[in-house]
Formats: sequence, structure tokens, C-alpha cells
Amino acid sequence: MIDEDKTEITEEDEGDLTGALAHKIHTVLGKRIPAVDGAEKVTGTAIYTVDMTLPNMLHGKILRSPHSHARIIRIDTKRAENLPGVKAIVTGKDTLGKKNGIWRRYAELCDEEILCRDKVRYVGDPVAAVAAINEDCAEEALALIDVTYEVLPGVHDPMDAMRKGAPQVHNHAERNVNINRHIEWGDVDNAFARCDHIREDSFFCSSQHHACMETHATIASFGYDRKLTVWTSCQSQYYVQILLAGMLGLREGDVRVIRPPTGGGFGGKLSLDSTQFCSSLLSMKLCRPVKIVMTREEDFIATKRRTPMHYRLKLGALKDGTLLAKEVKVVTEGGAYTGMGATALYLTGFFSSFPYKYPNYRYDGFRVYTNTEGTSAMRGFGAPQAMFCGESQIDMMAEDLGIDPITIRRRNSMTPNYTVPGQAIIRSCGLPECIDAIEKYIKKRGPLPSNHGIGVAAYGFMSGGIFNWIDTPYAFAAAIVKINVDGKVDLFTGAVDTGQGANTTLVMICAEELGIHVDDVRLHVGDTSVCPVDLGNWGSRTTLMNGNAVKMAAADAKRQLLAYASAQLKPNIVYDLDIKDHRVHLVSRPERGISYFEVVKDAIRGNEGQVIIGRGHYTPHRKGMISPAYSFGVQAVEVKVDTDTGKVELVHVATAHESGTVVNPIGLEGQLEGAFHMAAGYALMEELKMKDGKILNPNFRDYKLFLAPDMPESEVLEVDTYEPEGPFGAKEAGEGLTNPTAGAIANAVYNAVGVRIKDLPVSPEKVLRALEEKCLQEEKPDDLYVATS
Amino acid sequence: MHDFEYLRPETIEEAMRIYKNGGKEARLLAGGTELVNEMRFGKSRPEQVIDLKHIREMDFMELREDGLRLGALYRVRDAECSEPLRMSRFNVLSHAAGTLGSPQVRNKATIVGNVCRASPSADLIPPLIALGARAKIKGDGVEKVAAVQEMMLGPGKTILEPGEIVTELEIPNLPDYTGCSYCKLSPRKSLDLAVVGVAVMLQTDSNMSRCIDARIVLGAVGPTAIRARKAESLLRGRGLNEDMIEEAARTAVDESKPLDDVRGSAWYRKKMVEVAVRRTIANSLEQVRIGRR
Ligand SMILES: Cc1cc2nc3c(=O)[nH]c(=O)nc-3n(C[C@H](O)[C@H](O)[C@H](O)COP(=O)(O)OP(=O)(O)OC[C@H]3O[C@@H](n4cnc5c(N)ncnc54)[C@H](O)[C@@H]3O)c2cc1C
Repeated sequence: MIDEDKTEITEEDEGDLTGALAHKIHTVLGKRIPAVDGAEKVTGTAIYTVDMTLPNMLHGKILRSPHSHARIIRIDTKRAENLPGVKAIVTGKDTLGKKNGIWRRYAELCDEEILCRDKVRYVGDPVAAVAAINEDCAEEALALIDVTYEVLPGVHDPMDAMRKGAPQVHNHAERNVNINRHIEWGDVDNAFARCDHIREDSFFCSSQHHACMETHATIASFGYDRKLTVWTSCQSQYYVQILLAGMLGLREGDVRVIRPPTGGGFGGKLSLDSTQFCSSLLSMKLCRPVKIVMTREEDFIATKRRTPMHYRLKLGALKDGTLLAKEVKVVTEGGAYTGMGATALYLTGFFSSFPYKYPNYRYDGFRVYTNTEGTSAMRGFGAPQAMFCGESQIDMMAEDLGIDPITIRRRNSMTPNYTVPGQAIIRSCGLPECIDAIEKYIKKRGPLPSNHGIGVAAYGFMSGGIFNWIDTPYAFAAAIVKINVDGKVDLFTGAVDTGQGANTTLVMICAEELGIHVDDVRLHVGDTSVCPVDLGNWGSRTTLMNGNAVKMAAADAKRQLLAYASAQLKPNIVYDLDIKDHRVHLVSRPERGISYFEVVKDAIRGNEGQVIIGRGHYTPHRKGMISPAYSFGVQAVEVKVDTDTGKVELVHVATAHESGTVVNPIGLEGQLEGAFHMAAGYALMEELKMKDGKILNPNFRDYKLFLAPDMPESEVLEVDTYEPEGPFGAKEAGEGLTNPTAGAIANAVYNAVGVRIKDLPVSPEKVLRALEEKCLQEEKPDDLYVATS
Repeated sequence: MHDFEYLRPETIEEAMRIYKNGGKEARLLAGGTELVNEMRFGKSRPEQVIDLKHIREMDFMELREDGLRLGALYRVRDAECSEPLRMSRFNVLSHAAGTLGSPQVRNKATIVGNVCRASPSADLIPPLIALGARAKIKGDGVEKVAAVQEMMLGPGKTILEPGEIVTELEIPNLPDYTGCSYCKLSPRKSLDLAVVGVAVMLQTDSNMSRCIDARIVLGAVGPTAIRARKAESLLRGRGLNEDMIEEAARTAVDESKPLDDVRGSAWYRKKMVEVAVRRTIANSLEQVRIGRR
């Protein structure tokens, strides 16, 4: 491996090189570069899966269970088959009968069928699929499929599901417990005995829908060559490739997955979905392309969603605010299937210890099957729940101890090179500086009008998850950089841009390393037949992991190129040469240089036209269990509470955060604002209302997302850090930013009007009820006084 | 979506003829912001869609000495933006129009469409009732006038029979010292349906101390918009002070009939009726004050 940092940074100055300094020495990084795919997207010319049509294509629709729990007695498709225009119908009988899951080594975690054969387990579970000449016809055919169900009692709440005698969602899971996780260090019981003050609180974290602009959609085309090509809106073309191949009994190499521009993911397009499976099944039956696009309602009811969690927290502190011990007990609503829910269960336990130094810590989490839509990955993946509960409780602890919220956080804050016992090593960490920045911000806001309050919450998040999904021992990323004769560079990466800006980030890293411009790089993504395998877009991994792979591939290509230039410029060794802004030059004497384009031309023409190809990879081998790096931040939200209606208005938000070297400031701001929007929705309004397991508001009229006029002004307080593990010192700015908001808002509401809402969302109704209760309680002592005097 | 025949009459007469022939299987299309959705989601499957948008004679707004006339094609966005309407005594319509949906929806939606759809949470029905609006209805050999309030039979149900078209709304002039306002409570600042929508018309004596007449209309808390008649009579002829307003608001709560649904519990909606009535009465008084100047 080449030491790709050699030309920029030496070992010694790496330690104190801050983001600001790094920014000065870069020609591409740190610049406000518009998204490389932005023009297509804003002009509507980007072609998403939902926009595509293929010659001879059919349209598919999926029949879903109306019951939350039922046995399938019989499926009769005759009437539907006779409908003119219907070309094929598939049911569970047409599958291999395998069960899908992401942990393929653990049979009981593979629990989801393509089409249910014996039992349906939630309202929306797929039972049959139809391909027809158009969508209307397919829809009509669904109504003609006769399914006889024996309706079974369902269980829709995890607490009920764990009771003895509760209906069994899956036979193998005793008391419906799907998975349990335990994390522990220190001596928790002993530490509580030494605490001056202990608080115990319960919280509830609600679910949330991903609400992607593009619903789940797939076109599958199986040819007479027995090979399958799939165009799909997803977060990892590689996962789709291997899981589809496995479920359909095809060789991985015979499944080609193409991911056109993707209209949002947020974790929702990480698990495979019924459009991918059913369109493939239908296409394999017909040897014609079949397209299935979920309706908005299906997207709501029949994909996956954020995991609802019941939290019990016990926190112990010394008088001075030093946190000695924390005990966390969590029960999560798993829904009908495992999905990637085991990871949420683990991460919520791990991140409940963030971003503080707990010497003693214990976590026990249970994921419980219920007859509801499955719960799985969603931006933050268990951490927003952890931070809402933890950051609410720490404010309560501070108040009990008579310490202000900033001080208690500062006293316990993680710092650089801190080890989370047995779990993780934190390298760069700018949390203390973030706390300072937010303290200043609060002072600057000055005294607030009545019913206004500012709440703060701190967070930390992983920068590249290391999870062994689908038999991969480690997460990995790879890239190829090809330099063409005219100096244009082709960058091949399996990284996935679902709108978060990964394409631009990776192009910038490639251009920076090669000393060329952003528009010299042509990006090739989203096709398993041309891109290196990659695990995709999750765990806030792209900037760090794919960034490192791209940087290494570019450095490899650069080294090959410089070998040709060295004959002309005659340095001592090739590392004494570099490229910046299209000039190949001596590092020691930048004024001596020649054109990059000339060097490329000579190098390729003089070598019988062989292109220059650089390869790069990254794996966090031996870099901890969870992530090779962590980002940190503190958010302050000012709210105004209408005490008549209980409505919480967002007035202003400031986020002090650090994500190592900032690759692209506009990309970062976009992520920050997007994350705030999503997390504020989680905190205040977004709610999947359910009755007997059925989602009652599967549409954007009644499932409310915040809109632009509801969003407050937002301020970014950038704190410089440098992450030695990241490309050019960069780390994530993706999911972490969704973590602090719910806690900050709940704390702000408390500071504004004195009511503490412990279950999400902080709806007007809950605030109003709490205000009334508070009123009653404040009246009571007076009454007593009157009575006794 | 089902196939259907699309027809585009250019006069009221022609529309009536087509509608008569089409009968129950035909539907009228104005802005289409309701009808197209109903059709898309399979709630309506008309054989014929009669597009009214090309009937020029129905596209008008006329402010007169004796009141206001709104043609059936007058758009919600027109009402929101019309300077003469905003400056008039009927400016509650501009304000209420501005709370409906989004700019895109308002550009298409008509006020009459809002009335004919008869949604319990419609934003323009309460202010129209408060203003005493009447609809002119034409059908096969029928020509009648009905108060908007009398038109409403239930959620999505009006007195309109197949073949009948609302051609315009007429609103009588308001006496002096009258203020009218609308208050919509909803979770979001835009593009949202009312959890509660309240319109109040208030007429006072010349020094604003006594209430002469009052109309209080509650939206989204019953199958149709409801007149809070007890609350109204409580105010009528009484002095207007804070206690009085409070009492009227509390009385209105008892007259509301909200249900628990995904947009809010009945408990919360009742609470909000009180808040909204209180605020709307205050705003209406403010309108009187402004009018006095
Ligand atoms: C995204 C969105 C948001 C919305 N938000 C709101 C909101 O906040 N508040 C609110 O009140 N509404 C809202 N609506 C509903 C809708 O926009 C309004 O009810 C609108 O005023 C309907 O007018 P239209 O011209 O589009 O009606 P259309 O859809 O054309 O017609 C509605 C009904 O009235 C009938 N009709 C229309 N014209 C006549 C006529 N002249 N005579 C007899 N019958 C007639 C039609 O046959 C149909 O049954 C929203 C709709 C959408 C799509």
C-alpha cells in the first residue's frame, strides 16, 4: 500500500492539523461544489426507476394481507387469471420456499418469505403478485384473487407480546422474543451504591416512516439467456444482488443490479422489498420485463420503519454532576420480521452510553415480534431513540443536582483518544469545543420572551458501521480510477448516492488526490456489472470508507502517472512529485512543472495505449467493533409553546458539530438541514397511527411531515477536527445529525413551559394535557393549605 | 383510473343539458382538486366528466352596493390575492382562502367546489355560512337559491341533485360595525387540514360595547359545519367583555360534536373549539375596530 498522505501531511503534523488548515492546502476539498448530479435532478431530466419503461414491459401489483395475523387456507387465482390482460400470477407456491434475512448464518433470523405460504403476520404482508398489460388491469386482477384466511388473534404491542400465552408471531420465538442483546462494563451495582443521586425514568420512542420521494420501485427483466437484470431504487445494489440470487436460486453473477438515480433511502431501501422479489418472480415466469412501483400507501404499510422503543433508564451521579453509572433497559417493537432490526437493538444500547464517559454501564435490550409492519434501519438506526431518552434524562439530572445543562455535559463529555470499555476507541472528538460553542450561542440569544425556551442535546455517532451483514466479516469498500488519454478520469465505485451527496463527495476526493478538477471526473455508479462490490449506503460509511477507497485508487493511478513524469522532472524518488490544479510538479519546487494533460498523453500513447488504472480499497479491520471513527455535536433548539393549543413552534436552531475535514460545505449544510427536518418531524409530528396493527394514516395528508414554512432559521457552528482514519481527515455528516434534535426539543419545551414529555412525538395534545396536569398540581398545595389553616 | 368520457361545455345551458343526460353517472369538474383524487383512488367512477372551466359566464367576482357575487369558477387563489376583496368587508374570504392547501392547490381549486364537496373540514364553508352566503342553483327546469348552511346534509353530502349546478354564490352586504374572521388550527403552517376551523361574524353597536348580532360557525368538529346557536344567543344583545367571550367559547364547546380520528382526539378538538372561538371573536372585534376607522 502506498502512503497516500506523504505528499500532503507528514506523520508529525497530522496530529494537530485542524480542518481549517487542511482546507487551506486543498484545491478542491472545502469548496462549495454544487452536486455533480444536481442539474439533472432539478431540471427533472434525471431518470429514476419509477420513470423508466422497457420495450415489452408488463406492470405488476402485489396482493397484501388485510389481516395482521391469519393462516392462509387457500388461494384461488382462477378468476384473476381469466381477466383479459393478465399475463401471470405468482403465489408462495412459485417461490423456493426460502426465508430471507440479512444474517444468513442464523437460520432463525431469516424469517421473511417473498410471498407468504402458510401465514400472514402483518397488514401488508404479500400473498400474491400479478403481471398484466397495465397497472389498472393488474389492480383489477388483485380484487379477483380469492384468499381464504383463518384469522388468528394478533399481538400488536411488544409488552403484550412478551406475556405468557400471547399469540405466537413465529413458532420459534419463545414469548415472541426475536433477539436480546447485553452490553456491560465496570461494576454497575457497586457504582450506583456510591452515587449521591439516582434517577429512574421511562420513555417511549415512536416509529417513523422514511417518506422517500421515490417510492420503492423495481423493473426486473429475465431473459432467455436465464440471466436477470434488475433496475431498482435501493441503498445497496450488492445486497440486492446477493439476496435476490439466493432467494431465487440464481448465481450471483447472473443477477445484474442497476440502481438508477435514487429518490431517497434513509434506511428504508436497505432491506429488500417485495417489488424486487415479486417483479423478479414474475419476469422469470414470463421472460418479459415486469415493473412494480409501490403506491404511497404500500410504501407506508409494507416496507420497514423506524423501531419504536420502550426505554427504562437509571442514571447515577455524584453531587458535582459526575456520571458514575447508567443502566438501560429497552424493549423494541420488532414487527413481524427481523429485517435489520437486530442492529438497531445493538446500536441503541451502544449509543445510550454516548457521548459521555460512563465508567460503569449496563444495557439489556429485547427485540420482540409483533403483528405489525417490520421495523428496521432508519437514519440514526437506534441512536436517535437513545439520545432522546438520554439527553432528556441528563437535563432532569442536572436540574435535580442544581447544575446547568451545559456544565453537566461538559463534565462528562467524551474527549479525543477515549476508549469506550470493550467497545470502541474514539480518536478525534471535538465535543468539548462544540459544548463551548453552544454555550456562547445561548448567551448570545439573551433573555427569551415568555413561553420560549432553549433546549440542548449532545450526540455522537459512528462514521462507518462495521457490521457483519450477509456473511461479510468486515464492511469494505473498493474503487477503481482510470485515467484516459485526454486526461479525463473514470471513477468506478459501488457507493450509493440516495440524495445525500455521496457522488459529489467522492468525485471531489478523487479530484483532490489526483490534482485535477471536479469536472475532469466521470462517475460510474449503481451497476453491479461495472462497479466494484460495495456494501452500499448505511452506517454513515460513505465518506470515510468509500472516500478512503477512492483516495487510495486515485493515489495508485497518480503514482503510475508520476512514474512517467519523473523522467522529465527528475526528482529523487517518485514521491517527490505531485499534481495540483492540472500541474505535475516537484513538491520542493512547485514552480517547476509540466501540464498534467501532456503527461497523461505521453504516458498512455507511449505505452501502447494502455490506460492507467488505480485500485483502492478500505476495510476497518482491527478498527474496533462498531466503527473506525466517531463524529460529535451539540444542538440547541429554541421553541415557543402556545399554551392554549399545546403547539410547539420551532424558532431557531444552532448546531455545533464536527465531522473532521469538511469535504463540501454545501453538502454538509444540506445534510444538516435535512437531518433537522427529519428529526424535528420525529420529535413533534410524524406518527404512524395504528389500530389492531393496521396503519391508519398511510398517506401524506395524515402522516404529517414538516414543510418549509415550519422550519426555523438554522445556524451551523463548525468545529474543526481532523480524523486520522478518514480521507483527508474527514468523517460522517449523515445520520449523526438526526440524533440530538428530539432531546433538544423536549428539553426546550420543558424550559419554555415546565412540562416534561417523555413519549414521542411531543404532540400538541400531550403538551396540553401535561400543562393542565401541571396546573392542577400547582393548585393542590394551596387547597391543602386552605383546608388545614 | 377508470376510463370516462370528458366533456367541455361552454355555456351554463349546454352544461345543464349534458348533465341532465348523464344523470348519476356524470360528475362536474371545476378545479378538480377533489374530484381527480376521488377518481384516482377509486372513490368515484364517473362515466362522464363535465368540465366547467370553459364556461366564461361563471368566472367572475363582483363587489356591489348590495353585496358580493362569486361565480362558480372563481378560484381560491383569486380570492386570496384579489386586492378589492381583501380591502372589502368580505376580506374574511381572502384570509380563509389563504389557509387552504398550498399555492398549487389554490390556483386550481374553486370556492364553489369547496362548498359542493361539503367536507367537514372545508375552510371556506364556515366563513361563507357566517356571512350568510346563498348559492344559486340551476338544473333541468329548476332555478333556486339555497343558503350554504342549508345545503349541507353530511360529510360529502349536499342538497344538490344530479343535474343541478351551482352557478354562483351571493353574499348580502354586511351592516356597519360588523367584523368577520376565520381561525384555522392545524399542525402545520401550510398545506394542512383544519383540526378545528371557526368563523365568526359579529355586529356591534357604534361604540363596540354591545353585541347586536353574532354568528359562530364551527368547522371540522361535526359531520358538517355547525352553527353554535347557544353561544350566539348568549352574545346577542350583551356587553362584550372578556368573561362574556369566555362563556360563549365554552358554550360553543358543548355544541360541537367532534370525533376521535387520526387528526386529533375529540378531547383535544373540544379544547381547540374553545381556543378558536375565543380567538376568532377577538379577531372579529378587531375587524370592527378597523372598519370604524
Ligand atoms: C393537496 C390538497 C390540499 C387541500 N387542502 C385543503 C384545505 O386545506 N382546506 C380545504 O377546505 N380543502 C382542501 N383541499 C380540498 C380542495 O382543494 C377544495 O375542497 C377545493 O375548494 C375544491 O374545489 P375544486 O374546484 O378543485 O373542486 P372539484 O374537485 O372540481 O369539485 C369538488 C366537488 O364539487 C362538485 N362541483 C364543483 N363545482 C360545482 C358546481 N359549480 N356545481 C355543483 N357541483 C360542483 C364536483 O362535482 C365535486 O363533487 C385540498 C385538496 C388537495 C388536493
